[in-house]
Amino acid sequence: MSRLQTDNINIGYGEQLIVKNLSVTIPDKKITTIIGANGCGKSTLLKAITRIISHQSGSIVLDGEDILKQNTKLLAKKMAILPQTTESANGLTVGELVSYGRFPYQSGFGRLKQKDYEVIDWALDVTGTAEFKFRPVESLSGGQRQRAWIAMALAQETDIIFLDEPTTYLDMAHQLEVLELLQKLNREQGRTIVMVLHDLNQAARFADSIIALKDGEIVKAGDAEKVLTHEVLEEVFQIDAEIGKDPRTNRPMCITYNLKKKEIGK
Amino acid sequence: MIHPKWLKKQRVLLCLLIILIIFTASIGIGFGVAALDYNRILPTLLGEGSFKESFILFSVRLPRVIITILAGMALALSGAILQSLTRNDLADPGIIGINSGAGVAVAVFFLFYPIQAGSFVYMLPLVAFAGAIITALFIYLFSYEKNTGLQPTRMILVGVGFSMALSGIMMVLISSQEREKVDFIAKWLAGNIWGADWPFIWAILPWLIILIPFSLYKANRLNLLGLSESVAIGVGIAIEKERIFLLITAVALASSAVSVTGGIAFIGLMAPHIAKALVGPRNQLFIPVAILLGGWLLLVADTVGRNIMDPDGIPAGIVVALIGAPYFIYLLLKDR
Repeated sequence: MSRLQTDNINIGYGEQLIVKNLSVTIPDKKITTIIGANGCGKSTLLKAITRIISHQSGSIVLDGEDILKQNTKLLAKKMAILPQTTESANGLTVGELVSYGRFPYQSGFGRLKQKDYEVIDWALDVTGTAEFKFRPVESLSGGQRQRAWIAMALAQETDIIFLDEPTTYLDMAHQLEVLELLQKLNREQGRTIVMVLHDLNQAARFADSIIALKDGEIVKAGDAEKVLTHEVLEEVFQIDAEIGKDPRTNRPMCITYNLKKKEIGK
Repeated sequence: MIHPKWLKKQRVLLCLLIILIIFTASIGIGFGVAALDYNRILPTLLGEGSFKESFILFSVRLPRVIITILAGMALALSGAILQSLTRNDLADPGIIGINSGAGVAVAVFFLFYPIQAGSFVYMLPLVAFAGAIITALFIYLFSYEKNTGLQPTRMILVGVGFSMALSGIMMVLISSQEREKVDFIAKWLAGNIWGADWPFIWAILPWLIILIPFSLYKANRLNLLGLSESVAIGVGIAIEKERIFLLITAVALASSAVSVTGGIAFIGLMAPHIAKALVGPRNQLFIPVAILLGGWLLLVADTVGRNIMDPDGIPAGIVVALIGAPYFIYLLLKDR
């Protein structure tokens, strides 16, 4: 039995439903990625599961209780979220930013305790940002900055971490750096990682389980071999993809693709 | 996690501001139509002054100085909270319609309520306070959306709209009235510190005593709310609840100040902004600086305004605007 699942959830803004009747189970201690075309509702789904937006109907259950019924501060000790556009850090230093991740454990005026400092240092270490502790977040490169934000999420000490397109705006090397860090956290510490990714090959390479969404509904969910197929990609992205195998990792990969020809008049 | 360098800088600034306030206050106490000799201030404070000296000090100058400092503090704290809450450095209690709401209430009360001189002055702050709270409530209702909750940007827009509409109503109200009555309202609107009496001090002081520690207690939450909504929710802040509490705090502070000083704009804009420029954006650091700065700025404005022109001087609100308007323009230009 998995800790986190959604049951027939509908999410929308106003009248328009973005995610429809979606039921999915997030496997514990695995890396799950959500893929899909722009506007398919993948970010919306992630936001609903992390209670940033509320769902209209159905239930999102973590540890046997709907997340909207749970105390939000207690919930923040169970799951952390790294939003898509991490806004400017307002002149904060990396150390301060990471210390904000300790909010769920603080009370009163929010003085940090010994344990907090230890966790902050650990989060800085494991993300390789310790050397920037006293530097303003703004002064870092894109990859370093993203790692600093991941460190903040780690400082929350949660079993589950959600990330919305953690590799956007990063170059190829930095993308891999972030993904490998997440993989390490998963393998070595057994953390459940759920993320939205745009790059299919990265999804196939790093995810234990992939959820492919189209128009707010699941087209296919399962391991990379099951999801990264010609048929699924045709339906999800309207592309004609050639699927091969990554010679190094042996995972399926999309070697090349064309847009599917649309019939004129349709 | 805050670098010791900043903490030290904040301490130094706080001490400096307290010295400045005491210094300006003593100048203010000495100056005026009925002069009080500077070397008599201390003896009079200690109860060794003549009747005339005691009267000037305790019944005229001291209450005025104290109320001015307190009102400045309240406005600055209100502005600081609103700026962090809306993530907008241009937010000011005036912008969310508090000044104009209180203004309309005062105008209506003054024009249509039979005046009994005695109780009138003590009713006025209550009326202004009610006007401000009701306006804030309406602004909140109009900027609230069912799915997304309270949107700070929307709140500013709605607030500006309300503020303009209310100013229009006020124009209509006072344009048809007798000169004498209009004079008082015009002065009130210009921010003339008129509630310079001990009861007004007792009316505003409790707000500050409760709400300053409360705001500092919320400083960490304000930091997170200032970062981004998703981040704040993600670390477990009950964002809607916090916003409402903090908004009520800001409204209460500003209304309590505005009710005794009249419509003073720009203090709530300038003080937090200068404080942030001095000690950085962390709420726990800049809020105390902003509070003292607000008190001092308004005190300077009132002292200058009181003595610059005979016989009545010009309202503190106008002096503040003379400094504040260029500062506002500077802010707008700097961001481009």
